[in-house]
Amino acid sequence: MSKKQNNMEVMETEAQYAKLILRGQDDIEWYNNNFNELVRKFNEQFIAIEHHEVIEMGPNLDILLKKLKEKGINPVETLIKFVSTAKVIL
Amino acid sequence: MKERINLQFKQGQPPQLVALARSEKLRIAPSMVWFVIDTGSPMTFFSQAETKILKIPLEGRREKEVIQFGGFNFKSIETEDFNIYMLIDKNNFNITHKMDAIKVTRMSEDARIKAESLPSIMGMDFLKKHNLSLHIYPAEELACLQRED
Repeated sequence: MSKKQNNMEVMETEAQYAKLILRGQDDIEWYNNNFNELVRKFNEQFIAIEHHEVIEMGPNLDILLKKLKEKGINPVETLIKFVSTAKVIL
Repeated sequence: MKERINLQFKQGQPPQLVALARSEKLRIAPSMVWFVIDTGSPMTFFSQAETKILKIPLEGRREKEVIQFGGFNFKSIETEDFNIYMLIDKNNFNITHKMDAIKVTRMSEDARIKAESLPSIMGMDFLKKHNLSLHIYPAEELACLQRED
């Protein structure tokens, strides 16, 4: 592989990484802005969010991950959150 | 020159960072993770949920200490070097950091579910080691990490 081709591949990979991070930032912002509605619908549930949409939910993480796997969705490319009205003080 | 990493920050919630984590040694492809920036934490770690989602193998790894976090006791477990990718403006940069994972010590179903609802934490060790400072403007709902070159 030439140096130019290699550089091109690195740039493409970097662009993909940036795109994924930006999507995650966008989804977390959407989650924060729509928290009240999400709590109303999914209180005490784990949810997976992709492109401003709850694509799957489950009462625990194992069930959610199983559902995502059955749909062929890679969980590391989604935003997974536990929805609860309880405030956690770390 | 100072570089800024924007954080997600909404009133009533701590500042959060969306990043990608990748480990060559553990063969973990770049994976989306979100950290809560916690200046009250001396350590940085992947949450129990993130450890499960990333499929980080913990068997046979060194257990470091018991930590109290979110009302639970966890064992912290040493993993490997991870590349943590973040965005400065719209460009990537990555930091290599030896990450810990955590595992809850009580194993009742209810405790496990609650423990898995807790986030990954980016603590003071990370900020200090990588020369990052945290800036928060609550009135404007703005937060960022700033890095000195």
